[in-house]
Amino acid sequence: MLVAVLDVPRAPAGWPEVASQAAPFVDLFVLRAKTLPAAEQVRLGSTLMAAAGGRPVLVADRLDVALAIGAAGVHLPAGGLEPMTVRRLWPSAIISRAVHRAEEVGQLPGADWLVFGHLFATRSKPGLPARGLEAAAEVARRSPVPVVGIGGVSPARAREVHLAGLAGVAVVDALWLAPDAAAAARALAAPWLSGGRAGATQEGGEGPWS
Amino acid sequence: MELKLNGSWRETPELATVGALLDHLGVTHQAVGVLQNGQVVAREAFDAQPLHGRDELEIVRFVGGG
Repeated sequence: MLVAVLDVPRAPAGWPEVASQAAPFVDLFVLRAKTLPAAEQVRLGSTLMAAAGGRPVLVADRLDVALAIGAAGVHLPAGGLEPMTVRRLWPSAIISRAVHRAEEVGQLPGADWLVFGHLFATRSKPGLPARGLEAAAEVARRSPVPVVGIGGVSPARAREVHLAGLAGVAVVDALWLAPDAAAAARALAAPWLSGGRAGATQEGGEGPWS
Repeated sequence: MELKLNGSWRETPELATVGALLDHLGVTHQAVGVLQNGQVVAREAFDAQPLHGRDELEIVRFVGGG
């Protein structure tokens, strides 16, 4: 699965158009705008929902913003609300949670999937050592729910992430800064398509939906 | 019936519920998130949630890796 993380204010000005171009190959969008006030996050989230072409949108950290814009759920950072707390308040939410250590994975009831990172060196975490694919594979083996990798994932590296046993990748720069967002999104999602990703029908009728 | 599944219109047999659609697609209920006409459907409600012709559904599969 491919998760497109919109990091504001880092995203380029034309991001809504990029989101629309990439949407056919994206499974989920996440708005991450933690430095911005709630009203601004609501405005950005509503724009993202409109650009996402019906694809689910999650809001990072802010349950209130997610509910305000009619999003599909939340992505919870380490130190954020407990997944089960959100599940109790919002039973139908799609909930993802960040993890950084394999020991955490069994202790997060309520989360639908986990995001492990950062896999490779990335602009998002300057100066911090990457945790690497071996650690990611260990997390994926131990996790009761699917694990998506984040951090410096390029189209060329997506296949390595797939081979490590992860359920997908979450990307920031690889999508928003790509010269051709649709091509980048397609390439990032490609390693998982042979398993029949939901959006695969848009690429020509492969998968379980045809 | 005609349903829009992840952006594409599809013809399916008459299906009464979201759960029946997932079964028809061969998708495990526990491993998906479903939006019906833009609204999230709780997993516990899949089998009770009515499905109507021309409904638009987004089905996100939380599948394991390779």
